[in-house]
Amino acid sequence: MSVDMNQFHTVFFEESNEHLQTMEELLLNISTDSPDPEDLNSIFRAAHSIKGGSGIFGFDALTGLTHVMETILDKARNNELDLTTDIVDVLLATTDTLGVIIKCYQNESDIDWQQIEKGKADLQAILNIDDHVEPSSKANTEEEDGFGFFDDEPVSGASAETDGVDDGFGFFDDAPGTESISVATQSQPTAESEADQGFGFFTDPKPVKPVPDEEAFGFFTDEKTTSKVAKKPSSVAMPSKSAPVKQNAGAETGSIRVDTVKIDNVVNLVGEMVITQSILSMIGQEVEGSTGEKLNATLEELARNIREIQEATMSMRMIHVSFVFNRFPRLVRDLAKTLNKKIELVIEGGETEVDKSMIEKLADPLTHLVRNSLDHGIEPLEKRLAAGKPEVGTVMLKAEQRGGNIMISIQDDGGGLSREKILKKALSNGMAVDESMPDEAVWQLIFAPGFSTAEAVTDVSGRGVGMDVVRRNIEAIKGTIDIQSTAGQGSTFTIKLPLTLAIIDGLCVSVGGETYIIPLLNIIESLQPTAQQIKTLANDNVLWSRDTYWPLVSLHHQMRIPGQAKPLAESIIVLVEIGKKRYGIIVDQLLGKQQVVIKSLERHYRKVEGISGATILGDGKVAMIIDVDNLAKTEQLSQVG
Amino acid sequence: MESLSSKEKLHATSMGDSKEYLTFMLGEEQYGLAIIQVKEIRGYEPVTKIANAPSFIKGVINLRGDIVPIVDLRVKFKVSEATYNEFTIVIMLNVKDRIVGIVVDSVSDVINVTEDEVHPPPEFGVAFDSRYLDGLASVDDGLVILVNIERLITSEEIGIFDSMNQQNEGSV
Repeated sequence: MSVDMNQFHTVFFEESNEHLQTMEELLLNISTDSPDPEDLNSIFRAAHSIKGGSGIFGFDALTGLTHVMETILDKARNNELDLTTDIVDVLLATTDTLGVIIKCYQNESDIDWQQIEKGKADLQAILNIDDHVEPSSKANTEEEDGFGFFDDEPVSGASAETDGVDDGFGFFDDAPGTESISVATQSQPTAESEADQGFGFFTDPKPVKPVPDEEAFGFFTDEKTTSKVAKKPSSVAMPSKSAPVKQNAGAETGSIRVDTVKIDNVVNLVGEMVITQSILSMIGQEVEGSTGEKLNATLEELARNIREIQEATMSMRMIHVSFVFNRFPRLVRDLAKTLNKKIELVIEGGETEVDKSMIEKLADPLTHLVRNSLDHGIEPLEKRLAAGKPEVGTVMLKAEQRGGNIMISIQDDGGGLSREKILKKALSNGMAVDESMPDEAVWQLIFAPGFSTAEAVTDVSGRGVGMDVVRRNIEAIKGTIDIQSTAGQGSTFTIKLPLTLAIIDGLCVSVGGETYIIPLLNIIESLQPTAQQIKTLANDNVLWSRDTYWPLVSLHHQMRIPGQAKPLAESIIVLVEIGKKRYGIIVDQLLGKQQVVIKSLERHYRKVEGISGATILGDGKVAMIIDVDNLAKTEQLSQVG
Repeated sequence: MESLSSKEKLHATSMGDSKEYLTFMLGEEQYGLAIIQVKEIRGYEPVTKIANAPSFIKGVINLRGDIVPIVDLRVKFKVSEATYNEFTIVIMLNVKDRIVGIVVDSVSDVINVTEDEVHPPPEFGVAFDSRYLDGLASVDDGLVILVNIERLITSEEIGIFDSMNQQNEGSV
């Protein structure tokens, strides 16, 4: 388990550093007179993401600092605080400090709590200045006090686990592993006592002074010497600790870490190979005689090898979704404790395989959703009992592969979304809403930036950043998110992701001289319609087949191909199905089945409606791949049940 | 937009020394674009059409495994008869990590232009809006209109880059 934790840490560090970079860039460019609200939002989101992640892993130094930072940014974006260059300077300094802290956590070196307290004090100073002007200063300071108190708890609460976690660090980093673990275990108690001291000072305006801090500081500024100095005494002191560490290190050599860029390169090259191979096979057909036979036999062998390479490469990119799910039991446990709720987390389908690049991008949105479910979804104990529900709330995290998609759902048996609250909040935010909106449309409102119906801003959630980030993150990996909610019974958030396999089986069809690819996965059958099968319904043609009417979509028309389409009787109809949509695509001709490499059209161009990507055919030409889900609008297909 | 404006500043400061421009003909006028953005020059080859694309976006081609859009500036700016044969010139550009091909009438030369040789762009008489221009430079055989090709290609008018901006925001 500790090894797993470490993988998450690495991801977290990478992400955090990206967020810091974003913040810095935006802060550097921001105009203090009229800051762009979108930029402020982005900075805020970045800070929030770091805070969220650090909270899960118990990186309290980060949580504390980012929380105060967030408060300032929140005020700034709500126009309650005027940005000055001084404030921006302090914020920039804070990003630097955060960078240093992240590095400390990453290298298992000790945290300079004094620096953090100073950073917090600097940030606090901004809020205080502002408070003099603001009448609501009382409330603000209270919130901050509350926070300091709040944050204290996880520190001590987490101390039981910290050992385990830190062990993890040790054997993950190959060479310096034993070194750093000794540092960590040895210095952990100091760090915590310092932390407690630090928080103690928090409300005290006097500067921090203690000698032990000073020592620790001097000790740890130079990381290299630190680990060397600390190594000796502790490896003597804890021989039992380092023994299992080494064993684990041995087991770990069974796998190596490879930069994903390298894997992507291989995947791309294999794609090129598939194309070259299909061209070669075509040429091979032309060679005659015994040479031709030999050539073709060899080419067949080559084709088989390439297919195997292709499968092997693809499997390198696929990892179990449990990679991301496994971080939640801990999160749920800690959070449930903080929230004083009893919650059981059920995980299903952890073995579902998802492309690695997606897994990484899923972590953030899933964390937000699970936290939301715990904080807002599951009701407090008394409410649950009053509603006749079991004392223990259930949150279910489920993954499954459904056709060409991965569905990930977060389901809770809590109170469900409150239609009234959302509408009220939307109105007060000045959004265009009306009472008669369907539930689905109301639920979608919560994805707007800055939208939160939570009454209290807590360390957990309530600032309303979560959901818009969630949707953005999911859309970034070409997914969609749906909400189902029943008042009193709970809500389900369903994320639908495409299986980004770089290679698919496709049916090549031709329409008006152009070639298109329809994913084989979506095809039920292709047929040449008889006159009896075609019926006209409200000016649209439908096809009677398989005991049902199929709406028809003309590819000729959808792709805006010039000229007249072939008469329906001479065309071919490809029956497709995706999700609940079933319809027939009218094409001129079938060209054959082919494995195609999906190439991004968005890489150099942009998204085209009805097209999911492009591919390169055997002759080097480009063909578009049909996006069966979006080729025709739902309303176009809805006239037939 | 923030990053764009900083790019512009950068651009302005780098104008101090001399820059190399690739000159090309579009209708009657001679234009120049920073050669640093040119990936290669090739002949026109049949494209795959894209549904719902404006007429000046001819389609996409396969450039060694990349699917690259081809923009016909002649059609876009209605400057000359758009014919397509093996002598039609496509300039492949590197624009902000992307590759975009532009079709022009012909490619003429590579010229060196120093900052003092650049005059402010004219307000009219040019196919492009003046915001896409860096200025005017005189060469032996007349004037060259210096185009800020990056700003032109990334503009909303061309419409290739709009979805990318959204994507970038999304990944923040």
